[in-house]
Amino acid sequence: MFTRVLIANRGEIACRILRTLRSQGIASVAVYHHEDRGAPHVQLADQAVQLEADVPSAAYLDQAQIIAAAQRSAAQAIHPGYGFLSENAGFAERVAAAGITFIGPEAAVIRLMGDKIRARAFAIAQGVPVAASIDASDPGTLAARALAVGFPLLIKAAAGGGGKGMRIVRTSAELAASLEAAAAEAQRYFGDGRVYAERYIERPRHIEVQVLGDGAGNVVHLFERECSLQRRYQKIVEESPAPNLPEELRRELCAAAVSLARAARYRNAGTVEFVLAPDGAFYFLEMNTRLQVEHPVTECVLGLDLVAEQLRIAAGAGLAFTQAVLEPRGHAIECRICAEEPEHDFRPATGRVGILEVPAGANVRFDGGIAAGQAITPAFDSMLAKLVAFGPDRAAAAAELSRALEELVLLGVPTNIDYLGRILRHPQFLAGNLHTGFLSEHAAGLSAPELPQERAAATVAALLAQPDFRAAACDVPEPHASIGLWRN
Amino acid sequence: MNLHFEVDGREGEAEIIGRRPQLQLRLGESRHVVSLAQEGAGRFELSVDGVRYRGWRYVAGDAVHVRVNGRTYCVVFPRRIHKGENAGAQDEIRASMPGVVIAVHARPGERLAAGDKLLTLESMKLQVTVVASHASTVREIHVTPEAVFERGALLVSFEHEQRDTP
Amino acid sequence: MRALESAVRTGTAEFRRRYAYNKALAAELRARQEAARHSRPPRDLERLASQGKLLPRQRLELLLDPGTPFLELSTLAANMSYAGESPSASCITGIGVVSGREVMVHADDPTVKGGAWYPLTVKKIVRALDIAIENRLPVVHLCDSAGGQLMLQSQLFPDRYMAGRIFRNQSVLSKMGVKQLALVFGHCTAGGAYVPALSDYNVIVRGTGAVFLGGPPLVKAATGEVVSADDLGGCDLHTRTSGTCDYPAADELEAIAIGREIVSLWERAVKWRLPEQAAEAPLLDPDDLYGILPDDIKQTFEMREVIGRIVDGSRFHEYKPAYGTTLVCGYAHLFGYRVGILANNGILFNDSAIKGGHFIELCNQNNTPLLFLQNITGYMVGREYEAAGITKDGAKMIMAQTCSHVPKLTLMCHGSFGAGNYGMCGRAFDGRLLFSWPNHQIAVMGGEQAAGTLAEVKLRQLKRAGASADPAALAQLRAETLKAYEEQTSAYYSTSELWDDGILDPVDTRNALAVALSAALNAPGGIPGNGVFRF
Repeated sequence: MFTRVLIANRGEIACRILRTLRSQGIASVAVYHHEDRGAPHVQLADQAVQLEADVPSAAYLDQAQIIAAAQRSAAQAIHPGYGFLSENAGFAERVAAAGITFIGPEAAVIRLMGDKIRARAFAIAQGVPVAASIDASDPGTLAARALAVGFPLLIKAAAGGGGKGMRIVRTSAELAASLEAAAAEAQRYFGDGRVYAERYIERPRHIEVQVLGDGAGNVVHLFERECSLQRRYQKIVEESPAPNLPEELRRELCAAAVSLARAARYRNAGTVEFVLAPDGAFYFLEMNTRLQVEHPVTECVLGLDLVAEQLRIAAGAGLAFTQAVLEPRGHAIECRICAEEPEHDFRPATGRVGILEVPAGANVRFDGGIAAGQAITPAFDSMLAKLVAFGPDRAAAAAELSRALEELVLLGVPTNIDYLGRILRHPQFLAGNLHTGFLSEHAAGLSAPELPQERAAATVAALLAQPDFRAAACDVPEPHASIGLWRN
Repeated sequence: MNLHFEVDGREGEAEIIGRRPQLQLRLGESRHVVSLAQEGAGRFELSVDGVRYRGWRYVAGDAVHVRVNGRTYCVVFPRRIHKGENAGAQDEIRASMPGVVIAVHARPGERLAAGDKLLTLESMKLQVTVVASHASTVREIHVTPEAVFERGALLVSFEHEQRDTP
Repeated sequence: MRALESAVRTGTAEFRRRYAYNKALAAELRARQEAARHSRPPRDLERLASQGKLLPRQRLELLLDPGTPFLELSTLAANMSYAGESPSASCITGIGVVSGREVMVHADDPTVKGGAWYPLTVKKIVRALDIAIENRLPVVHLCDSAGGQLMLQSQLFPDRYMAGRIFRNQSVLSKMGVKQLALVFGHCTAGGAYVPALSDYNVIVRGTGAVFLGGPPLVKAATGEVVSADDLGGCDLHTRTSGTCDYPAADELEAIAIGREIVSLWERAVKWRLPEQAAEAPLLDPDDLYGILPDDIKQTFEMREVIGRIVDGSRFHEYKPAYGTTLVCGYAHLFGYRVGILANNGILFNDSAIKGGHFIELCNQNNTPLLFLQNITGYMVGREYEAAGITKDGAKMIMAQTCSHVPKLTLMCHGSFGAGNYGMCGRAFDGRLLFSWPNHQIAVMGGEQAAGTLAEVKLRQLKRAGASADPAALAQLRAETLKAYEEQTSAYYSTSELWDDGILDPVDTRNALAVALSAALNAPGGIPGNGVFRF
């Protein structure tokens, strides 16, 4: 096992990884940009190395500096977290070349799965169902091939993710222009303008399967997660197990994921994402060769520490368990707390974490990377923390998470906390009728209700926090205060 | 004296109507009776119209973020006193004492933000950098490096801009 | 302390007749005040609006703390002068609360002849600043005036207590450490320029505010220079170049906001005396006052009924109740502050004058402010009383009252005639504030008495000359005297000339006296000591 690990990340996931390192007695090294100098992951790590960059997020993408930091601090392994360099095959190679263990799959597998077009082809070869698609080459046959697949089509970037470069095309008239626009966006965001178009499934569910592989062909699955509740193509509520999923279908999905991962001789943690159509057909979407944001729900229902499993595999100790012993119990739901304004189309917000009060409870887990007083700037992603609740069944988990959201206090920057609570209490959510268009479909029902009395009370509380108003209210002397408004 | 505020994108104004036996406020059209119970370290407890509310409160500049009954509100109080930067701004800069020009940093026609450098001057063995006091467009720079000027000399003129009263 | 019990029977014809009479007087007062405060030619109001200015009373309401009282002084000043050209003497003065501090407010009224100062305007402003000095009240000036009324300059410029006294008072206030703030909303011309200049802090509104010793017309006449008001003495000149003004404001609202913030930084006054107990509304109904006060100046009424409708809980501790019964003396509380009350229940005799003097001494010994409730036609006259020394006794009462070091407040409840006015702290005796009721009349003697005396004197003159008295001529003399007296003894004449600090609706008395007393207690008591009592 490693004695020192460097975390090439920040925020919530860096703190999450730190927690496991600490519990295992492994020394931790954090890297940070100057703007993050007060951040919790820097304070919690045993060691911290500052990275230089003009733009804060660029620091966490600076491969040379990060590797140098690992070497200087004698870290034996680097955990890349998610985002940033976690799916950068070149980085994985350079880390290995520097004699440091990259906690994740081999570079070749990262490269394979990172190219959506190649990944799809690989999936097809393994007999995993894949949605019909076309690529953007050969403009002459483009329209015909598109018609063969059938509209509506969803255009995606080959090298993309996170919703960037995605477009829905409903008629062939828009096709060419949309492809061009998507290609330009892909080029801008990922440096790779290749796009492809898939048949767009209406009201699909997004189901993913967590897998762990030892790199020698042994793969287990850790069951599925439901991630259908998305806004701007980003998940904000995830859960495990997926509700209203027939057992047979669950088995097929998990088996498909395992066969894919096994064929790739997958090493370490990964997630195979599927689209589930209303008719029960499912299609391979992509494989993420890293730890996912929503991994806690899997950890809750299985009682596991996935980061610990990652460390174990990366240290060469193989898988800790066989498929047979894995038995999920209960239900877990996670929601992502983001600095944004849901009532203004979820536009990202800035501010400062003025007050932070984390809800207590044995069945509640708060994974955050923020501390009171921290500035929330546009420099980084708008996700501040994750709140997870566990219960014996879905209704209990939802109730517990709803309660925890009400108790959570995060003041100083607009967040989606109230919005998430409304999702969790929505009858359609509780009935488990989920699909990726859920939030748009129920936008009216999810908007903030008008509560004039409560708003008045909040206004009064705010007024009395204003020094001028407070002085006017409380500091008027007698007898004038008693006489009140009077003119002779 | 009314205090203007904005909450949930809606504007309103608050007025104190009376203070005894309890504080009476008017918010927009409606009146409320308020009594403060406790406060401290971001927490508050008060009763409005006989209903008790407990919550949290954080002041960030002109805005107060309030969390009550599991719901977050942001109440913004627009400032009443401005820095007076826009009103009556001068369209020209004249030398307040004689000196010499060390460097010219701006060009005619350039659009500047408040704080952008215009000239570096030296007077009485002290160098000073003149900056734009507000967003403006340079019309002409009347001096060149190494030029010597008297008190009151015209140094920079700006395009005249109509400003709204804040 | 027991509550006074009322003997008033509200069902009687006399009560109802008096009630109707006094209620009508109160209604007339409100109507005249309303007109003086608000009734202006539309052209003047439009002119202000077109200049982007607020009305002076709008400025006042924005300045004052919300939900607080404002005791306006001398609303009906100049109501019987200048053919009514100067309602409220073209200015507003009063005591109010700004940012939690008691202040004296003085606001020019530009809706009356551009805010030009008439002689009574000057007198009203001087009076306001005298009150500020005596009571250590900070002052807020809301300046907007065209300057002195040139046509009447001889009545407002040269003498000791005319316009110069305003600036003398401002300087004295500053020396005393009592702060002044001036908000310049309009022109401050000539002497008026000194108001902001002598204020410790001032704010000037850009575009409309201007301060200059000579306005553009004067400058043109004097030197031929042609210059606009803004260039001559506007915001930018005075805030950037001359330093005469401290804070520029983009508009009137900002000026008021800045002003309130300045006041919020002033230290709070340390009161000379604090309330002793919690405030308590009177048990007896103040509305009854309308039925208690007579509808005839020669008639009297029971002062304890008045006291019981002003003081906390109607509680009154009467001093020496069996002696000198025409003067009621005793202690009570007003919004928790202890006061010593002297109230006339008839004319003053030897014993009531002595009792009054003694009670005044007790209040001075006990650091208790004094409240005089006047209804006095004079001291008793006649040989018997002179022999008993009534003049000496009256003199002793005047001496004790004058030498009091405690604050004094006076309320003219009905008649105030002759020497009785003196002992009961009339205007000349430096009471901190003096108010009247609408039914109040004041003169050296009653109108009928004066008419009779003059007729008697005329009769003797004619007899000595050997002529015979012409009954018609005598009757006309009587009638003319009476008419002149009627006009000049009324409360409206008195308030017009600023012989009082305002007429109060009787039901407003408690609040007015409370604000006045609270203001008075911002100044410490004087130095105890008396002159010589002629025993």
